Amino acid sequence: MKLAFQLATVVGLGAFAVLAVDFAFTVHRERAVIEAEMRADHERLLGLIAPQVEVALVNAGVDGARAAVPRVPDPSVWLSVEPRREATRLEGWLVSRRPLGSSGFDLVAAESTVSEEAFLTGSLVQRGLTSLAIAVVIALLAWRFSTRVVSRRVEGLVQQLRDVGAGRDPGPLPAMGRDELATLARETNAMTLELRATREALEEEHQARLRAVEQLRHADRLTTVGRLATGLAHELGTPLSVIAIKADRLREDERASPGMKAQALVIRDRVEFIRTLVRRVLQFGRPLPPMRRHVDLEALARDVVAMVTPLATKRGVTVHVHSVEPAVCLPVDPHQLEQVFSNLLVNAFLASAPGQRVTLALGRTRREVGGVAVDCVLVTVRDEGVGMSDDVRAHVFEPFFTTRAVGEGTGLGLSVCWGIARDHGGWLEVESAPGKGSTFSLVLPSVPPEEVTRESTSHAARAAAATAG
Amino acid sequence: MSPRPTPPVPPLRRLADHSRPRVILAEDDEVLRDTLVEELLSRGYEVRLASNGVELTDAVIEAVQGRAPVPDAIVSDVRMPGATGLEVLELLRRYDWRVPVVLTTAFPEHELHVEALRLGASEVLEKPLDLERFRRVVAEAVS
Repeated sequence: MKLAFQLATVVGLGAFAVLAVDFAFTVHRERAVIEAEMRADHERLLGLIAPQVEVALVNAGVDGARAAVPRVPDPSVWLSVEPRREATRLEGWLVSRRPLGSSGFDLVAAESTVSEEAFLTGSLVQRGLTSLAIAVVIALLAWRFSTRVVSRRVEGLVQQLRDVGAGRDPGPLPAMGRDELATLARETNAMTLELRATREALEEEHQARLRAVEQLRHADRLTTVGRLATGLAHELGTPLSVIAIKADRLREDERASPGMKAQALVIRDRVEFIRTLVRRVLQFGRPLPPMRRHVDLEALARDVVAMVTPLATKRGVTVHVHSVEPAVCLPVDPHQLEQVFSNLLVNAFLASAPGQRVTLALGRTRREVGGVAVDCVLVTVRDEGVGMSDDVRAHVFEPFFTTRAVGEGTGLGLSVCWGIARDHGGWLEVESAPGKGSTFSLVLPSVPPEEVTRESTSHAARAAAATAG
Repeated sequence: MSPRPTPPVPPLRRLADHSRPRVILAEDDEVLRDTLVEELLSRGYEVRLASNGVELTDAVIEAVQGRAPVPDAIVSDVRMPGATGLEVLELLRRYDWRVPVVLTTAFPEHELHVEALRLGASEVLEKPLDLERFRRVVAEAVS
């Protein structure tokens, strides 16, 4: 049964009970008043006629006395002379006695109370009905009040709890006032907020975990591909050496015809092309460790932008650099980062149509690295160009993956960039949708995992590598 | 602990009757070895061949012991069966034998460069080899 109905019933019954008790008292009092008035009338009447009846009793005996009793016009009143007796109650009658001297007889007045009882009964019924009506009105008022004050609020609470349980996110309940329901609403609001915070934290954690897993899987795939490519590149080294040397020797051979020498030159040229390719694959698979020094990334980015702007101008694309913070200084390998920036920028230009803009932005962010949130520097290159499908996006960092025509790109640029980001303790991210442009982000932890300690040895190695190349 | 016996160290100067520069060439790939030999011979070098690490070690030990002529330079692949070019380089250093060593490798890793330079290699050439550069480096090594 609804709470409002229960409340209304209880209040109505209570009101009725109170009114009924009050009415019972009233009837009782009225009856007493009526009886007292009747008795006073009797006293007065008996007092008036007693002397003459007393004389008649002395002179003419009982019968004479009875005859001397005057007639009363009210038919409900009966007067008589009776032998003295203990006062008795007679149902439906009010009997009054007055002793007639010491004769042993009383003058008796008896009056029927039927009309009084009828009046009282009528009053009883009328007031009973009135009480009932009042009780019903009070019950209705209680029902209305409890509906407004209790039921709607309880229903609001129930709906709130249902929403929270179902994972929806309801707004806060109104919690005005100081009553228990307001307290309950406040507590519910607090619980809702807490649940929402917990749910959001969980969701965030879940997303972070998904990202981390995806990143790991991606890194793993790239490592595998890199190892494969590196192995292939190694195997190519020896036969390519033979081909290159043979071709060179043929070119120098005095017995060879000019035609043969020209052919040898083509061979040599193609070997050179493969050599470049192999070197880049090797760089992806096992790049030189970064030679870090503290570099102002914005200055570096602006240098690169200046360097590649002619290409952008040629394609009718504008380049913008945004830096939210004046100085983003990090220990990085400037040459390697230049390579990353120029790769991302050139890719953005190639994806853009004339009139579109490419934006390089520097900023800071907080990311989770190995389960710990660390401050990171974020370098994003955004274009408004053709964008990528999910499938392309999933493979974009893999070596030899390219969407350009054969011969226009090796598909190694981004994979090399990815390797560089990895060697700086960071990573590359990409957001893109077909027709909505692409955003490549380089995320570099502000505190690199290894400190800048191997600079001198790296210098030596790089010098050696440079001369060896 | 007894002191380590000092091996006989041959003279490092070139022999009087030695007009052509001597090179030990170690390479496990037969075709590349033939190609390089052809090149070296055509440039007037006297070449002793080694087709793996063991043969290279033998050649070095023979030279150290005076049973074979002292080479003016060693050109060796890094990864070979038997012993790596780096191990042979280490062996030479142990004998304090400062013959110039040119290493060739298809694995141009950073650590390799560092290690090779630490052991005193005069050059590390990455494969695929460039003929011009190969000639220049070998010529510098024997001079």
